[in-house]
Amino acid sequence: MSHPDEGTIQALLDGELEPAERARVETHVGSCSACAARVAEARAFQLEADRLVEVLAVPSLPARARGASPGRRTVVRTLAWAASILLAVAVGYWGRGAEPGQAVVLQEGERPSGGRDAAAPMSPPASGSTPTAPPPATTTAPAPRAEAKSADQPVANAPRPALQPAERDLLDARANEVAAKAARQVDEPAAAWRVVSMEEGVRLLGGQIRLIDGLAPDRVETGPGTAVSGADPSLPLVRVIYASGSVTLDQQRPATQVAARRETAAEAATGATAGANVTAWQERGGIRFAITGSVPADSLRALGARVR
Amino acid sequence: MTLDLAALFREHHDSLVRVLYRRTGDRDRAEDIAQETFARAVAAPPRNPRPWLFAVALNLVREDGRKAVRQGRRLELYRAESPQSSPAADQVLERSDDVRAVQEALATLPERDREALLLKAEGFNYDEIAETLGLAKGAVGTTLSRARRRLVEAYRMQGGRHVAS
Repeated sequence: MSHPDEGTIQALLDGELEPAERARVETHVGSCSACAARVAEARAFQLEADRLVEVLAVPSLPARARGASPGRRTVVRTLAWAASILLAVAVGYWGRGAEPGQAVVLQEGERPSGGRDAAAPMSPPASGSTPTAPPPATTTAPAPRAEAKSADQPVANAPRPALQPAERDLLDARANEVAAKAARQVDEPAAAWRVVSMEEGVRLLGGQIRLIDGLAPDRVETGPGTAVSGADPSLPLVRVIYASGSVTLDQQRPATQVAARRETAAEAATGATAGANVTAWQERGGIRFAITGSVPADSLRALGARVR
Repeated sequence: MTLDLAALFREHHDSLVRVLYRRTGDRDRAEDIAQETFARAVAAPPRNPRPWLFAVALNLVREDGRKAVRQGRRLELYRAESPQSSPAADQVLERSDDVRAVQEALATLPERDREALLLKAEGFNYDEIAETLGLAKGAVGTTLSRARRRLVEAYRMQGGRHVAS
C-alpha cells in the first residue's frame, strides 16, 4: 500500500481504523522506517498534547454550587436563563427538530454562525521512502477506542470517578432546578402573552405598529418587556406573529427618543440568545424592534430590511 | 419525548463544564453555558444527547465570544482556586503559570482544531467528534493530528516547560 496520510496515522493511534485497514497500515508501518518514524512522532505529539490539556483542570466548584447564597449575578443569570427558555418555547423553534440551534445576533456584514468551515482536507500520502528496517513494536500499537481504553494506554483520558453522594445530590438538585424552571415556562407561556387587536397593539405601543412588508401577520400579541432579551423590561412588548410563529417581530416604543438613539443596536442585542436566529434590536422611526425566526440568517436579515 | 434531566446531568455535566472551561478559561462562564445548554435540552429533548449537548454548548461559546469581542470584554484566563482547597502558594503560582501557558497555546489553534482536541480529551470517538463539530469523519484524524502538533509547538514557542508525566 502507499504511505498512510497524517489522518490515517492519527486514526491508527486513536484506535479508529477498521480492522482490515488497521492491519494494512500496521503491515506497512512495520516494513517502512519512514512511516514508523512518522507514527512515533505523531504519538509523541499526542502524548504531550493530551498531557497539556489535562493541565487545564476545572477549578473547584463555584460558591453557589457549594451551597452558598446566590449572589446578584447568579440571580440575574438565572432570570436570563429562564427567559431564554421562554423565548425558545415561544418561538416554537426547538420543537421543530433536534438539530443543534444557534442564537445569532445578526449585524450588517457579519457571517451567520450557522455555517461551519469545510472539512479539513486530508494530507496527501507521503512518498519516496524505502523500507529499510522494522520499526519499534510500540509504534504500531494503536490506542484503543475511547469507550474501551486499556490501562496501559498512556494517552487515555482518566476514567471519570464515581460521583460521591454529595456530588450526586448537588447535581440532582441543580437538575431539578433546571427542570422546574423549564416546566414553569412551558406550562405557562400564555400567561405572559395575550392576543390583542391591532388597534390595542397600537395603543399599547404608543405608535404605529411596524409590519414586515409583503407578509400577512397571523396575529398581534402583547407581553412584558422582561420576556425578551434585549428589550426594555420597563415597557410592554408588542409582538406581530407571522407564519404560525415561525417569525415574530417584537417592538417597543422607547420612553424617550434620546435614550433610544444613545443605545446602539449591538448593545441592545447582547442578551438575545434563545435558540432561534435573532436580529439585533434596532430603532427606526421611534420604534425599536427585533425579529426572531427559525429561518436562515440571510432570510431574517432580508425580513428586517422590509420592516415598515 | 421525555427527558431524564437528572440522569443527563449526572452523565454529562462535569464533562461539559470541563470542555467549556478549557474552551473559555472561565469557570463561571462554563457553568452558565452548561446550564443554558441543559435548559435547551429540556425545551427540546435531543435524540442523541452527548453530541447535541456539546454542539449547542460550543455554539453558545462562539456566539458569546463574538459578543464579548464587540463589547470589548476581556476573557478571564484563569481564576485561582478557593483558599480552602488551594495548595501552597508557590505551587499555585507555578500551576497558574502552566495553566496560563497552556491556555495561551490552546488559544492559538483554529477554533475547530481546538474543539476537536477538547472533545477527544473527553473520550469522544471520531463519529461523535464529527457529529458535534459538523466535520466529515474522514477529516477528524487530520484535524486532531494538526491540533496536537500545533498545541505542542505553540506551547514550546512560549518557552513552556514540558509537563511532567
